[in-house]
Amino acid sequence: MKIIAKKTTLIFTVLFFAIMLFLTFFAESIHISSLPQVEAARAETRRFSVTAVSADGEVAQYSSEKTAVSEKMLGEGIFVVYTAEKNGTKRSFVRLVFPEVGESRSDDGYREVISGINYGDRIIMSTSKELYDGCEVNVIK
Amino acid sequence: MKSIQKKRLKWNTKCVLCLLPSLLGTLAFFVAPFIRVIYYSLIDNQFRKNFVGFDNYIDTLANEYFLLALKNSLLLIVICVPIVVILALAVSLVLSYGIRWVRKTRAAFVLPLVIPTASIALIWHSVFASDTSVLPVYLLFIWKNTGICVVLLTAAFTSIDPSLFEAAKLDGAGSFTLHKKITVPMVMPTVFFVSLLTIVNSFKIFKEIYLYYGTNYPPDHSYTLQYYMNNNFLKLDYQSLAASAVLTSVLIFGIVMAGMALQRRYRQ
Amino acid sequence: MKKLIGIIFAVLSAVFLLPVAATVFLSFYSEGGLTLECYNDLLFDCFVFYPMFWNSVLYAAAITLIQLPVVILCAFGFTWAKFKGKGILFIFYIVLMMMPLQVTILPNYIGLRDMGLINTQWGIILPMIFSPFGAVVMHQYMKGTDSSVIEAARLETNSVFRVILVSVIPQLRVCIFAVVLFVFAESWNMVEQPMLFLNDKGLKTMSVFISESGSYAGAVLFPAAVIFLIPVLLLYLFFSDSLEKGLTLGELS
Repeated sequence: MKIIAKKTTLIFTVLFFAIMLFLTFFAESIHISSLPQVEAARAETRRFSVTAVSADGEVAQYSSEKTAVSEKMLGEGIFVVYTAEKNGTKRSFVRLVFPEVGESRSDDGYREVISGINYGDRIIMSTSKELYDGCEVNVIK
Repeated sequence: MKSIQKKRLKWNTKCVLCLLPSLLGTLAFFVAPFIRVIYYSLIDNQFRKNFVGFDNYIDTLANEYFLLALKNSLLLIVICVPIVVILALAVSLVLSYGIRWVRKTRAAFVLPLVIPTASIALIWHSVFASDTSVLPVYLLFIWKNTGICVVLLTAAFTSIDPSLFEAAKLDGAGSFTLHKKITVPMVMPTVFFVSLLTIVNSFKIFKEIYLYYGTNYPPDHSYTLQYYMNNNFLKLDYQSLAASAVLTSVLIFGIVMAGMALQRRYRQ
Repeated sequence: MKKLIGIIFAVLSAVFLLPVAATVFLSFYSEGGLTLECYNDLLFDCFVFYPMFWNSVLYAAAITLIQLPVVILCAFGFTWAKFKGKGILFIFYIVLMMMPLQVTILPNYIGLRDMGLINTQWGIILPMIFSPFGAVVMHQYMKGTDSSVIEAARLETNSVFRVILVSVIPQLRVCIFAVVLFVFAESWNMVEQPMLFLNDKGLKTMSVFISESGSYAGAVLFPAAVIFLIPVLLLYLFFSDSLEKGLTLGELS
């Protein structure tokens, strides 16, 4: 009886450490594969013409590069990628943004962004799974 | 003849050398630093290193936190140790002389010994979250320490030679006399040892309380000597820490010496 | 009457086992139902856990394994060497063993700092190797061994190591298991040393993880506690019969 107990304990021990070893190496990749796989790219910029009135009433028109988003993406909100540390490791997360857009339109259907998305922010282009605000993602590209 | 003497000497030397690794390590990691600590307790400051004699000790003894910690540590001993010993006695009595299947439950009592403190402390915390008295801490201590006392006492009970009982019965001794004259004297040394062990463990209880409360500043009633020292350590107040460490060692040393002397006297 | 005692006992043992059972139960409990979510949070979302787990294993195993020969040698010396002051030395060991951690931790820290061992694995392992507990207990056991076997072995060889190997260890196998269990549990459980002597998160142990579990996202506490108690529990189960026999042979003074 005691020998059987010892054998089971031994098997259990080996099993336990084998599982822990396996997890130590593969847990991270398993986790990553369960995340939405996304492609992100820098927010685009377009030239928009700006009308400015100077102090002495002079009107000037010039164009400048501003962050822009395509019209079609505006509807459901834009997902912006940011990195944060969670439980000791750096991860990528997304936040859902409904940016404020200006009146100006570009030729290919882009609207000027007034606030919500900064220059250099990366936004999601495509995703393998549905995203939600604050969810973790794995950025492929 | 001489060669046997020589051989004996050689053998003895080898035996003494056996102690060497352990001794060296203890010296390097415990003794030498401890002397450092005593040195620290006698100077005023890490940087100026003026010898101030017993000033630090006087300061410590006058420090109200130290006295509070001392009171709590002693209170723990006075209250919990008897409970543990009596409980362990009761349990081991039943285990040694009682029903067969009850023996299997021995594992239940030994388990708290082996279970890591960290795993348990927070469960304890959520169960007793609303209780602000010192009870949870006492219960935790009792839970953890009864086990080893039970094991040792059971061992003592079962190691009494049954033939002694037979002989006494033949002489016509009644049940009460039997236990009084045979069981009690044979078990007493273990009872002493167990009490001493529990007292010593009560000083070591820091880890449990720390994990239970999760902070450096527990409620007043749980603030024990170790907290005092630990906080000094974190504050880098080496002087107070050193003084209190030395004082605590002296206290424990006194207790252990007293216990052993008592035990020896009882033997006679 | 006996039935009453039996029932009281059953209740008592249940009470004693309650904390452990509660820990296990709560590790599967989240948001009002039985779920594996907490384990998911821990195992697949908290990757710093793994190095800490293996650190705990490494330190405890190293301490236990290295301490074993040191302690056996030392106990042998205490038992069989004859020299003046042996008794005092042994009492010194006993007193040292009974000191609470807080008293020894400052000397330890200072010693380690001077040796440059702070924030290294050896800084944790080395002091624990020389913890007097093993030597004291082992010596108590050795006092009860049969000297005739040792004498017989001495006739064969003059090497202390062989004598110990051949004559002492087989007799004390049971006691060695008991000591191994206790030393392992002591090292597995240690939390002050890693917290104070180690700065790198990657070197810390699981006990530290559990005590800091509030600072991690997700309900990682209970699964971690369960995983934490498994190895030591397995060891206990493995040695439990030896443990009982071993403890009956040991007594102090």
